[in-house]
Amino acid sequence: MESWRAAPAVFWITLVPGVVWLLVFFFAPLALIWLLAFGERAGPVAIDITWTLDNYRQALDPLYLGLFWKSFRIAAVATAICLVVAFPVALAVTFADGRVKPLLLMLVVLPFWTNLLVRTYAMIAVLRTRGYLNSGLEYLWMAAKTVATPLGLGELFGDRFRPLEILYNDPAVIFGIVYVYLPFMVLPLYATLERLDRSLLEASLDLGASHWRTFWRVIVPLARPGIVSGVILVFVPALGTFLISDLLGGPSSQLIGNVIERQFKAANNVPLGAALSFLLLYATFVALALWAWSNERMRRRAG
Amino acid sequence: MSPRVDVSGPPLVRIEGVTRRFGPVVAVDRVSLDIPENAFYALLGPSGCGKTTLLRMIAGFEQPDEGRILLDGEDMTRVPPNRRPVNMVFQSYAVFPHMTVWKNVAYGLEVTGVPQGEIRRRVEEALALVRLEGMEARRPHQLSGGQKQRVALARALVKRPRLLLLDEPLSALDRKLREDMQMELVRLRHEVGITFLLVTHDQDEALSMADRIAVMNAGRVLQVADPRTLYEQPRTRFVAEFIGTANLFEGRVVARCDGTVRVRMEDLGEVRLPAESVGNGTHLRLALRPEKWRVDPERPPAADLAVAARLVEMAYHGDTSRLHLEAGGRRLVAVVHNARRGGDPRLVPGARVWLGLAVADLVVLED
Ligand SMILES: Nc1ncnc2c1ncn2[C@@H]1O[C@H](COP(=O)(O)OP(=O)(O)OP(=O)(O)O)[C@@H](O)[C@H]1O
Ligand SMILES: [Mg+2]
Repeated sequence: MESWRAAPAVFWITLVPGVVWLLVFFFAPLALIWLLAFGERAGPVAIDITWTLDNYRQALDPLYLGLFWKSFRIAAVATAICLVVAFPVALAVTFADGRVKPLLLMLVVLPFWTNLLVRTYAMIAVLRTRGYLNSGLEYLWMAAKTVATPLGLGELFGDRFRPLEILYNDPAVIFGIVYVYLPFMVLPLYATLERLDRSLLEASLDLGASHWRTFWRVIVPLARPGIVSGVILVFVPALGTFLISDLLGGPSSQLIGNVIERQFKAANNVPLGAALSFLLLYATFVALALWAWSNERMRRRAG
Repeated sequence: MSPRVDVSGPPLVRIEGVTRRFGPVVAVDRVSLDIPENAFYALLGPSGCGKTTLLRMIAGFEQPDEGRILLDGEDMTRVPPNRRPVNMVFQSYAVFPHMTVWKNVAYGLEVTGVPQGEIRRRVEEALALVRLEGMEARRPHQLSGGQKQRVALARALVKRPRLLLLDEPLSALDRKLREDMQMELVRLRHEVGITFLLVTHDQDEALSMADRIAVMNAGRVLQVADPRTLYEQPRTRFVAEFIGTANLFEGRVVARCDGTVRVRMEDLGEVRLPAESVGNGTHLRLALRPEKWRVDPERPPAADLAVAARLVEMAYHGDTSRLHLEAGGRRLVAVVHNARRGGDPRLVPGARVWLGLAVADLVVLED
């Protein structure tokens, strides 16, 4: 390591393109939005930077704060579900035979091969009232009723199949987020688990721990870096999502992302949109910091 | 070495015709061994000969394709590793990096529901045994290799296993530390009264620590014996060459008469061997340990065979010197003790010397 520090030219030369890219395409627009949050609309497109705090005042309206809170809750639940679903998947890929491993990894990232919009519409086709899921359930319902009627149990099934209302509500949004962001959880988890020293697991078994205990006391703590990256990679985009909640959510499933999108587009209130964006950014920072802090405390107590 | 080892009693571990294949590789090939209670048993063999695989089958991490493994007379073959009264010290230590020293040692007791008070007592005891008191709060990355080694040892010992498996536990340590740990292991073994099974490819380690050694090569066990027998009476050419060094000679039977056999040792001369040590063949292979040569500038009068040789090269090892010699068109190795300061001034490269041997020191090999 030390010898690399003594050769800084390598770093500087390889760093330049990335740094330029970030400056031009990330920090500059971000700075611009930051400025716009302090502006006033002076016409259909013109915005004067007057350093007013009105936009932030407006953004702190209880209506928006409620949406912030709701977005956090939905993103947190979706992230938790992602973690619970992704861990066994990542573990299974890690312990899979070396020959099928690349195939399994490809399956994990396969959804990326189609556009997000296409995937979300496909999900609508599956989940809507007269979609594939309900058709399938109706078929099962009819079959069950045909069997049950001669036995005198037909009453139990009612006279009409009532489709499940699974689309256009909050669970549908959560489901959509889990579906779309699952690979972002699986991949970092897999990367950490893959590097895990297998002899540690054997040592745990050797010392008398069951597989279940080994999972909780050795695998999960050592997968912590993967859990941290996965949670950040899922939670942050989930917090700002607007497409999924727009398409899969009902009228009451609006998230803060939808509001921000509307300010920039339909409502044409860029300063308010900018202020809301930055509030979301700050809130995300605080949430992640809190989470990292509680994590660290738990780790210390466990050691 | 230990008078407590009773080889005649029922063995603690019995390995019966165990075979393990990895695809085309036969890692362990029809191995049968009895490990007596309280023994310090060593599995010795070159890299890749199947030592780790055999150990992992005893621990339960690998299943034999054929054969059985019995512990205290009970078939262990299908028992999962966490239910075997056997603990292992891994080649890589496998100390849990996310736990302190204390937690590492306590782990095996916590997961099996030992009461807190007893855990505290036993962990303290185990840490004292491996001399790690005062390091309880450290994490593995704050420990040296030798200290990690001790944590792994304490972690296994605290479980009070019937059998402790050690997979080359000292190979990553530097020489001085290795020797200290060797002494430590021998001491520990006497204090805790647990049967040790040590895997090593270091013959010095096996010879100095174990009271029984099984020599393996290419998945097979070639010879099981105590260190002295193994060194002085190797049965095969492989064992003779793997344990220490040996001068090997092709022998041809010249004549047999009343209880002795005259054997011609290549171009070096003839010796008379007792008939029962030779067998019926006409060709045999003989081995002689290098330190058994009597190296003398004058012809040794009392030797059973004396060979004139030329000293080619000399390697100084401090306590001994290793002489590479040439006699009758072949290379020989001899070891002399540097008992006198400065050594023998006449032993310089190019010098003409005599090598004498006593027939009693010659070993007739089986192959
Ligand atoms: N999981 C495995 N898959 C395939 N081959 C294996 C596996 N484990 C061991 N082998 C092979 O089995 C043979 C014995 O390996 P083993 O690890 O038991 O050797 P070893 O005596 O412990 O060697 P070393 O002293 O280098 O540790 C080797 O040829 C090795 O390549
Ligand atoms: Mg090995």
